[in-house]
Amino acid sequence: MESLSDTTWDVVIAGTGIRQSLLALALSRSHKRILHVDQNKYYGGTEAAFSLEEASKWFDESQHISRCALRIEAIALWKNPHSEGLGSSRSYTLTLSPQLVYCRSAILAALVSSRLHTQIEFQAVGTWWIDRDRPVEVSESNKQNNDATDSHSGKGYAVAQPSGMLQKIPSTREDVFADDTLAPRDKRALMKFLRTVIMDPIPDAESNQDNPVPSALTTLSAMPPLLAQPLLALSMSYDSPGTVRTKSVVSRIRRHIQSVGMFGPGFGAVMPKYGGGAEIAQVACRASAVGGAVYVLGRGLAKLDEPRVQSAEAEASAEASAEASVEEVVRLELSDGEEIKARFVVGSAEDFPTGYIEGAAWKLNIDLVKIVHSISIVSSPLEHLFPPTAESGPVPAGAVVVYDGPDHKTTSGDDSVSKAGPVYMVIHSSESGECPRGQCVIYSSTVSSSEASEDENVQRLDDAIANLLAASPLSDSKSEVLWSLKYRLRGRPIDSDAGPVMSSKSARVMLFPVASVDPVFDDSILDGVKDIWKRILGDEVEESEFLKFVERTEDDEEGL
Amino acid sequence: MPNHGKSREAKEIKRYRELVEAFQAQVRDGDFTPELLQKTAEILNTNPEYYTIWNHRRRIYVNEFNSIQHQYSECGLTAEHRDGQILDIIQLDLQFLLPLLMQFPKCYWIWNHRIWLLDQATSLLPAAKARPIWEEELRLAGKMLSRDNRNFHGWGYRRMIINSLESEALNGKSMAADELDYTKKMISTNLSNFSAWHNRTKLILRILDEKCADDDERKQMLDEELALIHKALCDPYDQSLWFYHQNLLCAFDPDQASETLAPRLTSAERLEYVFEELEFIKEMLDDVTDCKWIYQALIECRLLIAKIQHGMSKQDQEEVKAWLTELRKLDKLRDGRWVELGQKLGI
Repeated sequence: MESLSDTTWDVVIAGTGIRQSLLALALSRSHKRILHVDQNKYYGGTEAAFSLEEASKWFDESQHISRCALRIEAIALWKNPHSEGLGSSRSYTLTLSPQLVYCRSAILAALVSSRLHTQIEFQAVGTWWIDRDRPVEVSESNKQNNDATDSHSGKGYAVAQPSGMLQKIPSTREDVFADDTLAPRDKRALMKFLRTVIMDPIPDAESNQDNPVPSALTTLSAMPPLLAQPLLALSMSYDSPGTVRTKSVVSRIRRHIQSVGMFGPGFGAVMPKYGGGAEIAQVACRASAVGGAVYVLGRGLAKLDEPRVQSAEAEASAEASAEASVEEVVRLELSDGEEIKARFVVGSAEDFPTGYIEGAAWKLNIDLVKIVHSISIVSSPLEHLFPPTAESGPVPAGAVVVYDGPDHKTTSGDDSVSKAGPVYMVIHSSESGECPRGQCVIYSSTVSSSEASEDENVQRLDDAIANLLAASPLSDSKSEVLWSLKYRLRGRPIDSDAGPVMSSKSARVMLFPVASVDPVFDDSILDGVKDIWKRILGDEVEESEFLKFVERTEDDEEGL
Repeated sequence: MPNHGKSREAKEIKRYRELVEAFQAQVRDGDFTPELLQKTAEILNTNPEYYTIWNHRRRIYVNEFNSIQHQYSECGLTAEHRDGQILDIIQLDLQFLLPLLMQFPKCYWIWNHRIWLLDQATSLLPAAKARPIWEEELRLAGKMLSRDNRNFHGWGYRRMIINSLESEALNGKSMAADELDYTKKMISTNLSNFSAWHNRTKLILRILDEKCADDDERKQMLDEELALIHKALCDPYDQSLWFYHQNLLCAFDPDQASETLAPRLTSAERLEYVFEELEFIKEMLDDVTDCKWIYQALIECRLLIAKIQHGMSKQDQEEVKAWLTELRKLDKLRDGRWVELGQKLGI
């Protein structure tokens, strides 16, 4: 039987996270000999999806292994002692990568051009909601307006009940049209913003010195804070409203609004069925295996020996000899002791031996941020969050609720807008295949503020979910959390510069740039993948061929 | 590789030609058999624009319908079975057309054939059996319109189906109220849906006539529609909304009022309405200064007032002059038109 050490592999990819899987996909038609390993016995790495038992196992193991500590650390696993509602372990697929994929995104375009989209079922993410749990003042413009044509309250923007009220965040003109709680003047302001944000050219990040401030930004700044806040929530950025970096926020809102309606009325983002990013990673690996890559789970990199960097004379003399230079190859040892030779080795930091990363003195000049996450299984379907996207439109499987409530320290005060960062809750219905009928899964996250203890940060997640469940219509039977997993994610701030692919002195070992903490799929991932793909294939490829494949057909041969 | 593409193409052309020749030979022999039907399907799957083949397909069906009819009247076939057989033929063909429609959505002949099949259902079957086919067709029209919601063919097709469903032949009654709801749903999906707004104007007139609505009910309807369009006009840049608004304004025009939803308003009432509209539109100028539609609508209101009052004061003329100036700035393409309007008004 041929062992893995018999070949000199062109590429060894360590870890089956989303980056590595996309790289494997990119290389899948290149006829390179690829060995793709993962220290875990499952696919997906830090983007994996788990059944209940697998999640439990992951939690236990992560308490002991420090390798993943760079990216993701488990905090707590909790099972509701008073409820019997939890289904069988296999009826759940809980993902560590519930990132939203905007219709207008590079990753979706890449999945289509690489023909992977036919193997992934994408579902609509429908309505974005904002949940505030304190009464809100009537907006100024509405106090003056006496002829509100609405037959309803005639009151201003958000009239919240003490238990909290969910407001649909308008992303389209039709949303604004339908919102009966808005005064005409507020509606016009929102409409104007929607128009300018769609019509503004995408601002060139570098030449912003010369360009005047984009008018979308001006319109946003001119809006009363209560009216602007839901729009800011569309940006899905973790900063609290006061500290938000506005250019990045506006372009994120633009992406949201320009995406709505692209693939059908009433929705602008999609999510892969059966586990989000984990599903993309799995399908990408499958495509790579079809292309000839060898997959080995349960074995990671234990040791790594790089070729010495040769001096010019040594290279010249090596060229003279007919033998392939032994020094051109990286020597690896897998966790089971097997010795491997590879021309290139690629992975994320958590897939390399800890000693290697520290020893190679990789420079990480980026300040990392921490986001606390929770995955919660809820005992009711929260159907009111998933209204149909449009007449005869697709039924959404996802919804987003943004919680902007006060943190513990803000007990009272004049600020109707909380200083703590927002909590983003992405809710997946059972249509996603991630939980049984009659339940749903809530993926929540919020920034781990340095001004609060970790307990307080985690508590904020719980508060947001409690608020959301309390805001259910009365007809909904008592909803409760049946199970939850909490973890901490460490990464680059949203929209920060990813930085270059890091490579060792010999250029044979490459590290993906540090991942961001973006709750939206980060398109810059593709840049890192492309960079490494080019370094591996060199002159053999044109840049334009990246992730552009034709459908594999039966009659590839011309036998007519 | 280009060579292989060409020879593959050449093969397909040869096969197609042979098929058509064989078909035409059978037609010459008067051979209207189910086997011939299969040939038409093969040809039409490749080339649905070949309308002669559709004609022949229909001739084959007419033959089959006639023979079924004969079996019923002469050979003891029960009515139940007769209807069942006819229904099967029609439904099977409607199904056959569906993937063809997906591939060639703009081919008139496919649609014509579809309509023919539906009409056959109406004329050959009892109403109770024909209705479900039309109702299914309405659902299909709904799906099409949700994919392409401003396709006027789609809307025309929908109106045709509704027309049939309302007809006596299908034991129908008016569906105008439901259709009005449908237009509201379509507008909620896309505010700029000219077709939906247009359909609304027709449906409202029908509903009021069918109800034999009195003047109070008509006024109420007018008020509701004005409220609706005011709500929609939170986006003043949308042309379709102003068209609908203009349509409602006709109720205040002494020359056109008789054809509108509220034909018997008094002059005083009309004036009151137009002044309200004027105020509403003027308010928009507070936030929006670069929208030509607003100035156009303001001028129209003033002209309407002048018509009802038989004259325009000097002050109002100055106001219109100012609006025309703005209009000329915002709508340079139609400068000549605005200049002419000013001249016509003597401003």
